[in-house]
Amino acid sequence: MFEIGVLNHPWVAVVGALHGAALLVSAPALLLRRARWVRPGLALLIAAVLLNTWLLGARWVDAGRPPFKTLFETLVFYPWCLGVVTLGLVFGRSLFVLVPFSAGMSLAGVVYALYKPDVETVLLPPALQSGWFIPHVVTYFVSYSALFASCALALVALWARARSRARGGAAGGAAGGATERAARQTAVLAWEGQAHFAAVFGLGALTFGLVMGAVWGKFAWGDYWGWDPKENWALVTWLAYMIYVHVRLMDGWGGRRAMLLLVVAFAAVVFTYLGMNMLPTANDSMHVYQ
Amino acid sequence: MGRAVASSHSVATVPRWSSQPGLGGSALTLLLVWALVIACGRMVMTAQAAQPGQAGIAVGALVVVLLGSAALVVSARRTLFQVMTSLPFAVSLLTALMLCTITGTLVLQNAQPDVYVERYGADGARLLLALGLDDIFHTLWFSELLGILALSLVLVAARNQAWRLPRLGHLAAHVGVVVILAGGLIGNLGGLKGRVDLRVGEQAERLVRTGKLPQGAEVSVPLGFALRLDDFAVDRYADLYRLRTYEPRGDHWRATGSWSPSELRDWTELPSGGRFRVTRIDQDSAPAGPAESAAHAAYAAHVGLEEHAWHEGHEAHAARHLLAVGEDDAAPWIEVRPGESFGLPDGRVVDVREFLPDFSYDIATRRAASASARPDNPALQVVLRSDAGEREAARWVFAKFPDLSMDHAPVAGPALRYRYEAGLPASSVAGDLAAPVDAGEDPHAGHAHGARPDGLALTLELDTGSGPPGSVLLVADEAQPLRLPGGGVLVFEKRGDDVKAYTSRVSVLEDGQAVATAIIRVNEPFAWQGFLFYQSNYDEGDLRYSGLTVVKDPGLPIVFSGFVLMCLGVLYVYMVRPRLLARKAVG
Repeated sequence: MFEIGVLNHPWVAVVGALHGAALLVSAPALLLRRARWVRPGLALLIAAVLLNTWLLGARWVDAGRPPFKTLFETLVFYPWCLGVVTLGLVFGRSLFVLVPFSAGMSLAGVVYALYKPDVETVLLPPALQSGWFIPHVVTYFVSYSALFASCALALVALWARARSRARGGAAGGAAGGATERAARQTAVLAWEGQAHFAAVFGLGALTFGLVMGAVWGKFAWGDYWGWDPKENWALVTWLAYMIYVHVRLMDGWGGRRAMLLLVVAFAAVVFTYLGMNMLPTANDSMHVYQ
Repeated sequence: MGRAVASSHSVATVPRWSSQPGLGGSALTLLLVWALVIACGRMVMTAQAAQPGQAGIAVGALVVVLLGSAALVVSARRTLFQVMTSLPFAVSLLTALMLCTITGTLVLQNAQPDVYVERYGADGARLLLALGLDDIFHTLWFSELLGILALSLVLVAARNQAWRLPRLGHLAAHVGVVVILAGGLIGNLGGLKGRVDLRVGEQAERLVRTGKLPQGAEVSVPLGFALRLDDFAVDRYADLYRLRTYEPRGDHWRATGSWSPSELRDWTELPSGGRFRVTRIDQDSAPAGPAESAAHAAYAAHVGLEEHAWHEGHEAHAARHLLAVGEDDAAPWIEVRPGESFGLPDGRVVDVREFLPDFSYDIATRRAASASARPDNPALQVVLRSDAGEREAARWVFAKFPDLSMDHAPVAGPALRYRYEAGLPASSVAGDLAAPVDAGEDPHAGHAHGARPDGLALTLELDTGSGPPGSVLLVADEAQPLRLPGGGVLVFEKRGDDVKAYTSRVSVLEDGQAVATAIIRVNEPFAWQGFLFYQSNYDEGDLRYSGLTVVKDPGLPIVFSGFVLMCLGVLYVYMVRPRLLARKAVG
């Protein structure tokens, strides 16, 4: 279906290509740890986000409804949210390291979207015609974007910690070693702090999204919560990050283990978003993408 | 790149409590407390068994839980309080909740017992049902775990540190969860859910409760006023016709392109190669006459296709509906058509009502509808009636789920099995390409039973690249596709009737006088005297009928307060706390 996707949505394919180029250009900067080399990749990322903004806007006008009803649409919308959140973190907190991660994830989203293209605009059923539709979905995707950033930063922190340990073993004993080690340790803690910032931001958005979903459910069908598989996995995701914020305060759990937990917790996010069809209970779900 | 980033940010301050218990000990404590609470709950249940009454039991259980826990706290004061307010205990509790929730998505919920036997074997199924894993979220033990969560949150809030200014956000978020749980409990005990079914002009003074009812509960509950349905309307989206291309993918037909006929005045690329455009749109076309047939033949010859591929192909591969009555595997298959009836040997009559190619049941609106035009989940609605005219409720039978039938009311009738044989291509998708339907065995086969021609026809100009463009007529009928070189088809079809809105206009009557009127739509419930009325059902066959869900939830303001408290707590943590900490640091 990939060719069909490209044929039906050539501009989405261009967005994907821009993300792919951003990844190619910025990945070496990450591997060689040269922050300035990220700038061309950053420019490509900005171009991709701008083009995607135009695509989403055009689709919104064309369909007469928000462009995140179907799986295909959300897979185009998610890279946009991820791009915006990434740019916020790049310019607000100098997290240039996120550029290749964000571009790679966006590329994966767009490629998957092109494998599952909509060939026509799906109309909005009455159940989704609600003032809660936009805030609920947008909040969730902003959250998923921040949580991806936290996962990427956790990986960077783990990498920095592993490097620090390897270097520490080799250089041990030298006079300058102590200050160097301290500097490396500070860097690791800084990465962990950044990952934590993104995780806590994502968890807050997750909480708002969950609450909005419950309020919407009450107005749509009379129940806050229906123990639907998608709802349950949204809860599992929320609990996973709740576990993270508590675990990292425990003695001996603050560093490497907490970062590993952030990586694992993001797997729950991906599963909640895309894995529902694997569940035996998915047939009864009201939330699963068809 | 570490250099570029690491400088300005300070690592979050990590408060630590002295004498933190270990994770293992905390998890063990949780399990012990939980086991104790479960045991207490069981005892109360057994004691109350003589006098059933769900509310009483639940309240009793709650009291026991609270008293038992309080007693525990008092008896082993410092240590248990410390454990239950510790981080490892919180982590254990959250993990336990997470594992329960995951289990609830891995094990089918609320299925028939034999489904579990099939999946897990007799012993496995017995264990699973004994533990309540078939309805995990409504077991007492899961509620008790939530009770322990509430208790632990209350204890956390009772700590001195919790009330310090920078931690007020955390406090609010924690207390918010307790408030939500309390509101949910009150809603469960004091609320109810049911339905009101009305036809235009009718009124109802009572609701019928739905879901699992507490033992001895009244099924029919008075509203205290009358609700009259003044009007009901189903609005549909316009833009009903689509021209679509499909290509075979494995054993499925996949849509590869879709256009509105009016946007095809210019040459448009076909996904499989070549291009086409619409040169004429005719309303109310007569069945293809000799001239059109000749045109088709000319076109077919032109693009090098066998003529039957277009003209007779649909006849040889029409969709068929087959029903067998009774459990016996040898029961004969009877071909039926929606809208027709047939008699059984015992004198009863089966009315075949509606066919949905892709059955889906919208819980929000409580109606059956087709999720798509593809026969992904073919379902047939049938009604059995005796010769005396006694009618059974309508029921749905499913081709893919022979053991499942969806009834409006419990049905005691004979088992019905349904077989759907997809036409090729039936509107669009599905059907086994390798095994086309053999139409030879039944003289009644060979008619298109899908959507009938709807009076619209397109004249297309096709340019497949080999030779000059040819002209062809395509009627709006999913059973009459145009075969394309390369294996795809071009189909002009009427889109499923996508509903835009269901609207009920109702009046509230007190002592026969209308005291209020309201509009009820999906997502727009109507509130009156503690009841909320939701638009939730309709009947395609009877558009004067409207089904409303009725909910009474005395816990609603409490739950919403909990939501607000939790959200305010989160905002405080983000926006107020950093400023407080920064000021403190400066100070």
